[in-house]
Amino acid sequence: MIIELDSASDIPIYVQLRNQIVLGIGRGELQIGESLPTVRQMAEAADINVMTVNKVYNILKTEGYIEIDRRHGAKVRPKPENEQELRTKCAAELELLITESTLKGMDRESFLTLCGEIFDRQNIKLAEI
Amino acid sequence: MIIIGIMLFTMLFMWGALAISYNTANTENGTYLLGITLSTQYRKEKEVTEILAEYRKGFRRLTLFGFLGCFVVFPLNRYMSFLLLWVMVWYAVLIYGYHENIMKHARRLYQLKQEKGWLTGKPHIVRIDTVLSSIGNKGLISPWWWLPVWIMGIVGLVIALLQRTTAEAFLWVVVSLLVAMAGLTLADRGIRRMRKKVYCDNTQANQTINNTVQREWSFCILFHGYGIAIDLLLKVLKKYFPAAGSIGQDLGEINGLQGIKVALLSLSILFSFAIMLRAYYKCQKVKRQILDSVAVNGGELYGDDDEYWLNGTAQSGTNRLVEKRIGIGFELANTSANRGIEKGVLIFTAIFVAGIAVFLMPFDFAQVTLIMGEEKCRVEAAGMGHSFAWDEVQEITLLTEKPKMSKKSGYDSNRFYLGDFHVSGHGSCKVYVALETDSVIQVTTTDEKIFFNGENDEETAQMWEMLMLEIEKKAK
Repeated sequence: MIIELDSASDIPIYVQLRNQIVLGIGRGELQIGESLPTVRQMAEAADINVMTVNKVYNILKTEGYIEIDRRHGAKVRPKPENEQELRTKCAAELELLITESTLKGMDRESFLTLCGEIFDRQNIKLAEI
Repeated sequence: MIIIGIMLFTMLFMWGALAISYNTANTENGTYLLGITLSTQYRKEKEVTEILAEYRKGFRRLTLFGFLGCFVVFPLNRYMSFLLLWVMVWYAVLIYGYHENIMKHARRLYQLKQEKGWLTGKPHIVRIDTVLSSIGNKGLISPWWWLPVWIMGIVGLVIALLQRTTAEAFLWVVVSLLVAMAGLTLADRGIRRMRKKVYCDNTQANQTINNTVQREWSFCILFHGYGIAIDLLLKVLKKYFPAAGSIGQDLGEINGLQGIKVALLSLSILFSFAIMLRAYYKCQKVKRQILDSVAVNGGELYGDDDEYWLNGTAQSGTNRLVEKRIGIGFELANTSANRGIEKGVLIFTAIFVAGIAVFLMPFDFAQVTLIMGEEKCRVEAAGMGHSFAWDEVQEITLLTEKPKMSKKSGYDSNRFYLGDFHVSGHGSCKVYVALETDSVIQVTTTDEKIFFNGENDEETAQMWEMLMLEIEKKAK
C-alpha cells in the first residue's frame, strides 16, 4: 500500500497516518492479517519521529484496527465494536459531516448516493497465507 | 618529470570527474533534467531548451577554465607549495562555479514547471510503500563481506605497530589507509540505511529499483574496500619483510622503469572509475526500463520532490546518504546536521592543504648549506640536516654526474632530494642534493656516505675546495 502524507497540511501527521492506514484497510490495500512496517521502519520511511509512529500504532490498537505483538510487530486485525457504542460514535461524526455538507449545498440524495459509492468501494480482504 | 606527470594526471582526473559529473545534468538523467523531475513530453519545449542552452554555455566556460587550469602545473612545477595552493583554489572555484550554475538554472526550470503546471505529482507529499519498508535490507550484499577487509587491515596494523621502532613514519601510512577503509565502511552502512524511495504505485517495481541501487553501490564500495586492504597488506609486507613481500615488489626498482609503476597506478585509478560508472549506468538502465514499463501499463509515477532538493531539505529520513540527482553516486542529504559536516570537511581540507603548503615552502626555497665546525661538519637544507665528524672522514670526492637515487625516507621533488636515499652503487646514503646541479660531492666516512651539492656546479666546486682545505688543516 502507498501511504501519502502531506507535510504542508494543517492536519497533524499522526492523524494523516492513522487515517491512511484505516482507509487502506477499508480499500483492501492493507489486508487483514498483513504485517505493517515496524515503528522504526515506518518512521524512517515517513521521515517522522519514532514517537509519532508509536503514537499512531497505539491509537490504532486502542481503536481496534491492529494488534501489536512484541515478536511479530503490528498486524492488521480489526475487531468488531459493540454495536451501540459504534452507532453513537458514527452518529456524532455523521451529524457534523452532514451538517457541513448541507451548509455547503449538498442535498440528501447526493449525500446518500456518495455514501453508497464509498461503501461499494470497500474491499476488506484477508491476507493470503 | 614524473612528479609533473603525476600532478597533471591527477588534476586532469579531478577536472574530468567533476566535468563528467555535472555533464549528467545536461542529459536526461533518468527522470531528471538539470536535477529537476521533468516528464519526457515537456523536455523539447522551447523554454526548456533555452534554459538548457544557457546552462550548457556556463558549463562549457567552467570546463574550459578547469582544463586550462591543469596546465598551470608547468610554470609552478618548481614550487610544490604554490602548486598545492593553486590546486586547492582551482578546485574550489570549479566546484563553486559548477554548483552555482546548476542551481541557478534548476530553479528557473522548476519555476517554469510550476507556471506551466507540469508537476508530475502533488507537491509536499511524502510517500511510503508499506511492503517496501517492511523488507528492510533483504537482497543486499551481506555486511559480513567486510570481515576479510578488516582482518587484513588489522593484521597490517599489528605488524606495523610491532615493527614501529624501525620506521615510525610508515605507521601513519597504515593509519591513513585504515581511515580510508573506515570511511568506506561507513559509506556502505549509509547506503544500507538509505530511505527506500517510492518511484511509482507498483511495489515490485519500487523494490527492484531500490534493491538494484543499493546492491550495485554497496558492491562498488566493497570492491574498493578490498582494494585498500590488499594494498595495505602488501605495503606492510614489502616494508618489513622484503623477501616475503616479493609479490608486492616495486617493479620500478627491479627494472629501473619508474614509468611502469606510474602506468599501473593510472590503470588502477581508471579501473576504479570504471567500476563506479558501471554501477551508475546499470542503476539508470534498470530505472528507465522499469519506470517506462510501469508508465506504459498505466501505472502512476511519482516524482515531484524537487522543492526539497532545491531548498536543501532532502527527504532522506534519518539517513545521511541520498542518490545524486546530478552526477554519479551518492551525496550527503542536505539536512542541517549534514551541512555542518560538509562545512567542517571543507574547512578541515582547506586548513590541511594550506598547512601542507606552508610545510613545503621551506623545501621549495631550500639551499644546501655547509656548516664547518671544529669537530664536525654539518650539511643542512630546509630544516633537515646531517653531521659527520672530521676524524671519521675517509674520502671526499667531487663527482661530475649524480648517481641514480631513489627515496627511502625524506623529501623528493623535481628540485631536491633530501633525506635517506638508495644510491646506485653505494647503497643507503644521506642525500642533500639539488637536482638541477649535475655535480655532487661524495663524503665517505667510516660507517656511511653522504651526497650533497650547491645551487650550481661552481658552488659545488667551491664547497669541495673548502672541504679539502679543512681536511688538510685537520691532517696537519
